[in-house]
Amino acid sequence: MKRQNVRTLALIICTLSYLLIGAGVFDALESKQEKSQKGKLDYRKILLMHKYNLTRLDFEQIERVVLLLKPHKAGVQWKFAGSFYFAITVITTIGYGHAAPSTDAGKAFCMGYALLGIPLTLVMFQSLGERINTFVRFLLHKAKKCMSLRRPEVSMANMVIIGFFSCISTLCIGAAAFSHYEGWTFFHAFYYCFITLTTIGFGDYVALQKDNALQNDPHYVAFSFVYILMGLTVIGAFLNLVVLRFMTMNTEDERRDAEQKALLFKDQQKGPVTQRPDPPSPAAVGRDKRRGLKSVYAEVLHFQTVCSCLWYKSREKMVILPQDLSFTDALMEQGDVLPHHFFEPGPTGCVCNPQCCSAISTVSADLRNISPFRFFSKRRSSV
Amino acid sequence: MKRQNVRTLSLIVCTFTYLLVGAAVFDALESDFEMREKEQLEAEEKRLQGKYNISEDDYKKLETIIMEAEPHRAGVQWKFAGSFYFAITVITTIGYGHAAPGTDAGKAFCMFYAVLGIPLTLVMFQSLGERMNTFVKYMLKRIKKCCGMRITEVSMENMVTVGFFSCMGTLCIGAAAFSHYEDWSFFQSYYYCFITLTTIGFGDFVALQKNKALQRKPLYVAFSFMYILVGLTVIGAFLNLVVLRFLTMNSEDERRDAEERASLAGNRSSMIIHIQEDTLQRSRRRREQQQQHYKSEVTDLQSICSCMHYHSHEFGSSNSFGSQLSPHQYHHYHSTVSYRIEEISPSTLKNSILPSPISSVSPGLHSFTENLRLMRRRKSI
Repeated sequence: MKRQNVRTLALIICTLSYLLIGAGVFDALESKQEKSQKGKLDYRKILLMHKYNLTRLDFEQIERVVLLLKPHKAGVQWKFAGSFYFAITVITTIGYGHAAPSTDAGKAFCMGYALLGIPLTLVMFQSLGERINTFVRFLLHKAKKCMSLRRPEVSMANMVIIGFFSCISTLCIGAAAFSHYEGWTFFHAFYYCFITLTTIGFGDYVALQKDNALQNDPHYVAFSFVYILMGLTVIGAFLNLVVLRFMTMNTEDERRDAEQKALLFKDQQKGPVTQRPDPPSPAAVGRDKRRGLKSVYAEVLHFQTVCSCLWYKSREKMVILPQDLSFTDALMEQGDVLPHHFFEPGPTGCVCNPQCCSAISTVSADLRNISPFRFFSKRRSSV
Repeated sequence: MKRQNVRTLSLIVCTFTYLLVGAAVFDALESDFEMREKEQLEAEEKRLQGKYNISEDDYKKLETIIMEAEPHRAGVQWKFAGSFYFAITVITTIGYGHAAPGTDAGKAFCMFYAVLGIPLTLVMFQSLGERMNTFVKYMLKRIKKCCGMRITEVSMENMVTVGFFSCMGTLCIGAAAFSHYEDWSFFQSYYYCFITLTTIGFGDFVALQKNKALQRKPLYVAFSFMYILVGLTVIGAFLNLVVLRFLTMNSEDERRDAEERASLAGNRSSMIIHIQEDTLQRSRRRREQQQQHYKSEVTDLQSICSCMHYHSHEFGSSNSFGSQLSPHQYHHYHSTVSYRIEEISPSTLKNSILPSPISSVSPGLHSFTENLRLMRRRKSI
């Protein structure tokens, strides 16, 4: 079965199992507490009902009013500051629900607003996140040079570590700030920041809802907005670094397949070529042999170590040719090959890993070194 | 300024403007209603408080009880069905909040659960969405052929139209179903489906919260879960079709810039051979000039390599190397070579001088001279 289909099926199964496991664990963690809390609340409710002789209907009336007043108790929600807060929760898809449009016109506008705003915001955060990643890479490279490390290239692992720590610190900074302003514990504030920045946005904890902060405390309001937007950028940068490549995998495979097909088709049209379909290049075969996301990641990292790689790219794919020893030997016999060319560090200082591959790194102007081209052109079929 | 920076800056400005405009419009639409509703409710509250003679303290207690009991009103939230529903709202980032973990352990697990689950779900929906798009493209092509149309290729507009209408259809189906089961108006139902499938998830309308549906109506529960997941797939497919390419634009530009820089920086005595598989594939989607420029660059490279291979092969056909390639491979590469050479666009020939011209040519390789001319003009290598 095609690789893309296998991948998709595996992902579906993974997600469904993940849901089942999650459901089981949440059930185990929360069910008991839910039951006991409900019991306590019912008991207190009945006490009060008896004290004031309230019937069930009476109580339900009061209940309805109290629940409807809940957002109002938290302050004016739809003046400009509140609306801006709401607009943020819409286009970033956080969606607390602390305030939701009551009028039908508001609901309709909300839908249209989201339709345009969500893709805009997605693209904006990814764009900014990519810029941040590039900048960080640049700084890291400079820092490595300054410290005169032997290998000043910035690897993917470096970037991932930095990204991870910036996410954690963003969450911690937010947790400290909100626990101070909102009177939550640090853990609850951290939980709030996490739920917000992953855009889940339950709404069980919502900032700017105490003491009419939206109207009374403009500095805190500004801080909250800036925090949410910057935090989302940091998370977005991390996602851009780590997850985005996986979202385009199927599309790339599909394109590669189409290209191969086109190539075969055109070749067949050209000449009296006999039957057999192009043997998959060793690079492609090697790829197929190693399955799974891990292998793709390994592939990406592998490519980076190849000579003449540009230090700050992290996911180009170069033509990697497994070393064909017999071939090399034959060439060496003819004296065509200067073997050290395969192992010499390239101009940027990278060092080839001769055991895994012999990528074409440099070809001197001298035509005697055309021989690497033979490697190269022989295996071109997969591109 | 670099293209990526311009793009990023303009996106930031756009988003801010969008937020400001949105805030103003929401203010205009909702503020009045909010004020009126607040007055009405506060009056009602006073009336009820007076009617039953509830003291201030007791009323506050009552308020607290009612607010805390709110999730319980809708039924048992954390038995398996409810937990599954909750898990869905976490990893799809919908996050209604109709039920939120009460215990600290639940909160902590929720965070870890999300850290792993959200990327998994993102990738899964994009993967499945891409498969769906491919399938739809295939079906559309077959239909076009069946209808005997002249142009059987499926254009982007076709796909976008189909995608848009499937999104609309999904929303309408959901709206009809939920308005029936939950007793909402069609518009409210539609609003609920929209807010759910865009993963905003306010929580003002939440399915499965009436009449203990989570425990009593397994079929309806199953339908809701299926609807949410399938609906998200359809939306994901549409996003994959329309938005995903924009998410990678900056990275591609950055890669291309680095490419150009690297090739210009190549020193006189070396040529860096470098094939950008990704860029070759992705360049198809870029603007015309860059597409052709890049493709022709790569094609040049291929042609040079194949050409030199072919010719060196010719030269060395008598030696042991020559015997390694069987005849039909030879033909294959020959035809590959000629195919490739045809693709060299005139622009490459006008390119500036190759930084590392091939200085010496082995005596036997006469045929290289024309290729040399070609190579001299390949500025980017």
